[in-house]
This record gives sequence, C-alpha cells and structure tokens, in this order.
Amino acid sequence: MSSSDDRQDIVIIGAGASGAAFAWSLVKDGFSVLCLEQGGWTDPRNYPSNQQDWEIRRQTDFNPDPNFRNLPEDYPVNDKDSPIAPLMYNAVGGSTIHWSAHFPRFHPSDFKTKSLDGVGDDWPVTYSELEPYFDTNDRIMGVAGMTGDTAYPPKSERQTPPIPLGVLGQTMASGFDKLGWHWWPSDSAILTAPYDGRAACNNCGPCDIGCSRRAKASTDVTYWPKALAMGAQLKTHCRVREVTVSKDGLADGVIYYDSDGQVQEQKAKVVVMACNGIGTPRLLLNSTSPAFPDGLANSSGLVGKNLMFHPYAMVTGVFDEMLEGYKGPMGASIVSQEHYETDLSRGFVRGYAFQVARSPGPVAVARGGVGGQRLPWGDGHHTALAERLGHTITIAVIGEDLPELHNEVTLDDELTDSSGIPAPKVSYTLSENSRKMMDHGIGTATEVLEAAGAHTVTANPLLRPAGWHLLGTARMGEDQASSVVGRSGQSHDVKNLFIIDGSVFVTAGAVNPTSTIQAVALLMADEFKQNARHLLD
Amino acid sequence: MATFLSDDQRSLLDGVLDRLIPPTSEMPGAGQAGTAEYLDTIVGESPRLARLFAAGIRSIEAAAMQRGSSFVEMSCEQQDDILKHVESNESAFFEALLMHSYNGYYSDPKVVEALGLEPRPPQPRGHEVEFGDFSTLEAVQSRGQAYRNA
Repeated sequence: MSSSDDRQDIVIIGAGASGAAFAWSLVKDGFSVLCLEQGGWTDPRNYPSNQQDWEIRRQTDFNPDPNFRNLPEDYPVNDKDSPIAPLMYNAVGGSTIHWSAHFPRFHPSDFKTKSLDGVGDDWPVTYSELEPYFDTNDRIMGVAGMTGDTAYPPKSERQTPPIPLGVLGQTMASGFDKLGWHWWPSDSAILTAPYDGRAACNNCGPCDIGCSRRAKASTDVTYWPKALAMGAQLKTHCRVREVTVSKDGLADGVIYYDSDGQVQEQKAKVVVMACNGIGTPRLLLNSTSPAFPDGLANSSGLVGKNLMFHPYAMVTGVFDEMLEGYKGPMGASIVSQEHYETDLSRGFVRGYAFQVARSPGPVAVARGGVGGQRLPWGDGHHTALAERLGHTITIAVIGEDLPELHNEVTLDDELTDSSGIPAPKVSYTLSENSRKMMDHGIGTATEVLEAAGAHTVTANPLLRPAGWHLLGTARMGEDQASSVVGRSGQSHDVKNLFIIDGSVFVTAGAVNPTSTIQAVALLMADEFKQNARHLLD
Repeated sequence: MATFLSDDQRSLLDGVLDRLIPPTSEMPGAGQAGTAEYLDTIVGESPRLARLFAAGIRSIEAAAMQRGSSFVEMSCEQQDDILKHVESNESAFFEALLMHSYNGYYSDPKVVEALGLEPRPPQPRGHEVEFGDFSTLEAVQSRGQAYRNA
C-alpha cells in the first residue's frame, strides 16, 4: 500500500449531487478540499441521445441499474430481497448524470411528521431554515419553473420560465382543472433559456441518457466547474474501500483503489461521506476496527437502517388524440400535490404526489412503456403500437414511505465489486400504509386521466426499476441513541466524520429529493464553517 | 458484418421475425427489415444469449419437424402455432428474442421513418414543443394555500 504524505484537510467521498454542493460551498470560503470519485468524467458529446440506438443504450451502458450496466466503476447491489431495485450512476455528477432533473422541494410538513402525524420523526432542521439554501442551490443548478405555487410557501423567482406544456401537458392540465385539483408546472433543473454559460433545453426528450446540451443540471456542469476553478481537487477513478481510524478514535483518512487497481491511503483531518443512501452505509459498515466492530459511526446500530425509496405506481392513460409526448423533457411536464398532505379519511397517513411524465419512444413503447406489459407480437402488433406511440400519458404516483428498521442496507456475504469490496445487500418490504397510499393514488390517477380524456387506463401497482431515491440509512437527529449524525452532518461517535447525503434524511417526503439533499448539504457546509473549523487545526 | 448465425439459422430467424412483427402496407416485416442482422451482432457479443438463441432456434426447428415440415415452408397460421408453443414452453428464449427484436426493429431508421417520425436521434436537433396556456393556474391559485403549516 502506498501512502501519500500530503495529509489533506477535508476529503469528500463521492462527486454527485451532495458532494459537489458541499465542496463548492467550502472552497468558496477558502477551505481546502479533495474529492475522491470512483467513476470518471462523462463526455456530453458521447451521450446516447446523439446516436440512433439511444433507446437500446438506455438498457445497456446507460441503464440506471448498476447490475445491468456493469461498468468497471460500478458496484453490484444484491436486491433480491427488495421489490424495488436501487438505481444509481457512478461518475463525476453521480446520479445527476441520468436523473430527470425533477426538482421539487420537500414541504414544511415533511420535516415534522412525528409532531403532526405521530409517524416517522421530526427533523432537526425546518423548511424555513433550509429556505436560503434551497435558493442558493436553485441559483447554481438553474431551475425552470413558475412562482405562485399554492402547494408551497412563496419561492424566489425561478431562473428560467417553466418547461413547455406541449399537447400532453395541456391535455393533462385540463383533467386536473375539470376536477378542481391542484397542478403546477414542475420545478425542473433544466434550463429553458441560456443561463450561466449553459444552453437552453431543445426538448429532445430523454433526459435520462445524459444531456449533451448541458441544459440539464448535472453537477459536473454546475457545481464542479465552479468549485474546481476556486481550487477544489477532484480525483476520479478512486474507489474508496474504507475509512480508517486513529488510536484516539477519530477518522484519519481513507483507503482506496486507484485507476490502476493499486491500494492507496489518503490521510485527512476530516472525512465527509457523500455516497448517498446505499454507498455511504456500505462504506461505513465496511470500516470496522477494534474500536468500531459494527462499522464506523454505528453506536446507535442505525447505519444502514430505515432505508426509504419512495414507492412508485405508474398509471398510464391511452388517448385518441396524438399528444406527441416523446417531445419535451420526459421526466415531468406538470405535477399535482392535491393528495400530498395527510387526510386520515383516506385510510392512510401522510401522502403522495403525481408527476406527469411524458411518453417514450417506439422501442420503449413496444417493450411496455413505463412499467407496462410488452406489446403483443403477430398480426395485432402494429395496431397496438400505433394506438400507444405518442398517445399515452403516464402519471407517476410517488408516495412517502416511512422509516422502518427492517428496511435496510447490509453487506452481502459473498457478492463484491471488482476490487473485492463487499457489495451492499438491500432488504425492503412495502408497508401496509404505503400499499394503501399507492392504491389510493392509482384510483385518483385513473380518475384524472379519464377526466383528461383517456379511453383506457392501466396501472403498474409498484414499479420495480424505481429506486431512484436512496434515503434514510444514517439519519440525523439530536438524540445519539436514535440517530447517526447531528444537524451539521457530524457523526455523534466520530467527531471528524461527516455525512452529508440522502442517508441523513429522517423521513422521505413524497417528492424527488435532490433539491432537498443539496440544500441540506449546503446547510451542513455552513454549519461546518461555523462550528467545526477547529478540526482542521 | 457479424456472422455469428449460420445461413440456415439466419433464414429461419427471418421467417420468425416476419411473424413476430409482420409486414403491412405501411410497415416492413422485421425479417424484411433485416432485424436479424442486429440480432446476429448482439448474440455474437454475449455467450449467454448465444446459448439461449442456439437452443431456442433448435426448438423452433424441432417443433416444426414434429409437424412434418420445415418452419420456413409453413403457412403463417402454422408458424404462429409453433411460435405460441415456444412462447409458452421456452419463455426465457422467446421473451429475449422478442425484446431484442423490438430493440433492433424500432431503432432502424427506415422503421422509424415508416412510423411517421423523423429518422434521427433526439440530438442535436431536439424538438419544437408548444409552450402552452398556463392561464388556468389562476383557478388553482383562487383555491388558496394547499400546504400544511408546520
């Protein structure tokens, strides 16, 4: 093992959504940071959206599931005991490379589920404390949207106008209007006008296979260029195996495999975990020592516990009209939060949101669209395809799953990545509350699709390749026995170890979490500057 | 050009493909369109698929021979019967064959064009999308605050 003699101040593991924001914030205020990322830089010019076989590459080297993608920088995940498959991407930018950039914030109530509804736990931070960080993050990422949404406290001006409705969005909006239900154009981290040196979206459609125009805010085109210009260091193809500890029980660096597969040691005064809800507990559980036999920062026993994904039900309506849904950012056109807040008369606690997605291209339509059955072969095939291609709207019903101890990330006994590091194993069961919530959402989604004019509606009650959101596995809190880190991300057990990614989420809300993950990371960076500076002395 | 499949396998597959995705007045059949070329390439790249396809193609031929003919010489109805049999009895092969056929066929520019779409990738040209009418949001706003104070 070679050891570099340059002891760093702050080493961040992971260059995705949270690591990039945290690095930017620290380096902006004069701190020195080194980020280690197991993936590399992706070249936007080579994204599949420039190739005729783009719909195939979404299933192969751009598959969001690492078990199918199988690139050298990926690690496998044993997901046999989970009805939801975890999805992620390993590169500078992390999963923001393949995300759909749907960018809602959590609601104020999401931070207070225990006191409001007697479930989950209250967060040690509130919506109003995060508000300035949401705003800063919006400014760096660049958000398309429209102020005035009644589902939120007033927000600052969005950076660009909303993404266009198109025929599909307009049709769906008319359904919500008929029922008198809430809808609003999605906040999307997708530029609709040039901003900050990046081009506007040209509505090509498949955001999930990388945005070659850099209109979509992946952190390799937003935070990282700024952080690097201010002196942040970022080393790619460095795969961290474990966090090491000194005799006094503090973290003193990391051991990683470099691009040649050689073991390297990097000493640091502070170690920051930014590998999200599966990668972070995996590394902590793999960082065992006599002082920490059950994994690092795990005296509560909660590292890896309380995994939350957001269950998704996909409800698809087929329309006679041509909606041209394959044009425009696919992840979302509009959202509805009509059923977001708790209403106990529905038979479950907490709630869900609707994300109105656009419709897929011909390959995906033939293969079943968004979570549906593949189309029949034979004489009926062409008719079935023509009825659907451009004629469907899918409502993604995204529900709030609650923290439960038995939903967890552990280390697999046998499976490893190509460096021999144990792979994570995921165990997850859908709770009764979540099932009732999803069933209610399927009912209301069907109602609004029919109101919008759908002649046929089908539902996938629980989409399997839907583990986009990996949350809760190193929760934050004030009580050391029931949480892993405090509100600054500082480990209760190891004072110079910080966790700043989606692992720290106390509850999951019922919206896509990236905006909130990054706002939390920025808040934690400020807390570090104010209260943890002495760790660098 | 990949040549993983033998000539016999290739002509059988062309016949199968024209039943999976048959020709119509507007659309080419998948056999006609040359989707077997794509299948040949991906089967050549994957030992797992190669084994699955080799065995699957053999069972199509065997099922045809049991009925006293070669697959390519049968009527469409007879061919469909054979394929339904394979679909039920060799589902791993059949689903792989069908899904990869959909991949190859619908990524083919001439097929995409026949669907009435532009035969090009999404970038660099993108699409025009109507901005739309957001005026009904006034009705949403008139209903007042939709979130819970906390």
